[in-house]
Amino acid sequence: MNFISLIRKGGRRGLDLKYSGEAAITRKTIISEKIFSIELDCPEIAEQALPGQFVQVKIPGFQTAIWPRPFSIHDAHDGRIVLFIKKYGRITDLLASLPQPQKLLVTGPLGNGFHLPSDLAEIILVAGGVGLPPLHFLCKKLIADGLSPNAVRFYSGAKNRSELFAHEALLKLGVDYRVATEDGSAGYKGLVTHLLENDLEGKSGLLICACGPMAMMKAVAMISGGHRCLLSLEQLMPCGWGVCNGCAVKIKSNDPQTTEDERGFRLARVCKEGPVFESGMIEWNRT
Amino acid sequence: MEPNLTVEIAGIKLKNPIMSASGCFGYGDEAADFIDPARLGAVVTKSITPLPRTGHPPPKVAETASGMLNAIGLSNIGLEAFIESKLPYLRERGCVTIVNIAGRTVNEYVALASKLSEQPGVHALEVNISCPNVEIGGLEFGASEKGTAQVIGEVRKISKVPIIAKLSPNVTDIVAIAKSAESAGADAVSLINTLIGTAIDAKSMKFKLSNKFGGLSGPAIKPVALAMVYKVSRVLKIPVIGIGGIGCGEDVIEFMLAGASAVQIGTACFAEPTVFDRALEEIRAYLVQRNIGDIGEIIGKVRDA
Repeated sequence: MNFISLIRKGGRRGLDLKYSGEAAITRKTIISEKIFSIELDCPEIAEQALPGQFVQVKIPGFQTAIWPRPFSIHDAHDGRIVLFIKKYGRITDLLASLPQPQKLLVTGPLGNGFHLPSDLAEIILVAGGVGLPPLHFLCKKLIADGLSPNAVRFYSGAKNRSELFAHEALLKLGVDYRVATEDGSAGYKGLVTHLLENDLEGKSGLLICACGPMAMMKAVAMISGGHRCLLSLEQLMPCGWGVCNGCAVKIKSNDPQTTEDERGFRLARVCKEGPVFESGMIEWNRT
Repeated sequence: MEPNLTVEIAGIKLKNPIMSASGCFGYGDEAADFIDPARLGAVVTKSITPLPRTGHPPPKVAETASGMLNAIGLSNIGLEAFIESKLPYLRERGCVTIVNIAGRTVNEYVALASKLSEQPGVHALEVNISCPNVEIGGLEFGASEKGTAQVIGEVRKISKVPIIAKLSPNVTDIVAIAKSAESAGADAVSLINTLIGTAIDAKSMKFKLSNKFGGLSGPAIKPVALAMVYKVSRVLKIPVIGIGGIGCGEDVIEFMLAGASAVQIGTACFAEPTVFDRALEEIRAYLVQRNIGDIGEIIGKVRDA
């Protein structure tokens, strides 16, 4: 699968390989009261973006809050990248209200992305809320690179119907796609992790990729014992490109890139060694 | 005509006055994904300590109004690994490299300076006597004239390259400290390091940093930094390097008008690793528009309101 060779390019070193600069909003779509999407004209990022990678976004000149905000890439095509954003605070509210053609300061693509085995036969993707974008991008790439849609099960969960998105895109991919809402307003009533739990019953050796809130990530890790599980973690990051150490989390790891620590765990930067980690590496009691 | 952007600090010629601030540009290699570090006037490295340090546990950072707090705790790969694995890269790229050093004792500063100042590719040392985030060393020296003179004097004796004293704003009289650094043999001073602060989360009723206190940086501290740069540069003969909330060309110009011979950009490069290029473009445009041929002409030229 050429997809595999593509993702291995992550983490390369060189000069001016990534982009940091202005990118114009070419489209903004309001999905519901809380969720909206923006499309950015940014060929430098679109051409090399890999599933699981993210961008840092900042409103140029806005100095009230100075950190950019990280968003996983939902899709990249024709020189454009697509992000789905949930209105969560001041910055995301402001992003939702920006007029077009506003330019944003965009840096990326950042992070490691999903590194999948070359003999991939079956995969389960589990999305929680706005954790869906990296899994949509991954799903789309896998199908484009020849994986049968029958080999993919995609579970998407949200609080309610209005916070679900990317329905049509996922249906069009032809994968086994199921939704769960906490209030039962769409699909299964309950947590998306229940769908995963039912699926995994009596099975072993499957590959699971998930992204969502930290409590959900912990639940997925617990449910996925006996399977391989890759989790994309969310964290606020002052830089996003590995330099400030502000997003470091505690993991059990022998990765030589992480800093050794005398207290029996190591620190890994979510922005650089992550955001995708093997679930077994995460030190849940300390993260 | 293309204005001359070169400046000279302690005998080192810089192609432009903009350096990275310590701790905000790593060892130059992370940023190479975005910008050739050789385009900076100089790369100032993360603080190097004799042995590797993990620093404080998370959470290490918190966003505040127009700024941020950090309590990283001098996490770095240590002297040996820096010389083996990071310095060659900076040397090969042709960077002007200023290595920031942090010790817990005077002897540690001396050992660091002794080893680093004889490495090819190290152009100067920035002596961090102002880290607010470590219990031993750092500010313990930089908070007094005596401690400053002690560290700077001993490092000056051993160092084969120019030394820059990085000063803290968390003192009663920064001018007195700066004078003490100058008398002890500093070739330049850089200021300001971060201001000590904290942040508390009302919801969880907890501190936002594991270390409780951190260093405040970003646009919030720019007025403080400008005032200190102005005051110090009036009385010192050695050059002053301005630091504190710089994020664009206009900020650079303001610091140079206040009396800085060069500047460092720190926090702003987190959000925009290419900020150095943009700021340089903005400086060029400013100088061209005013028909100023040499950036050196504006140093200390601020006028009364």
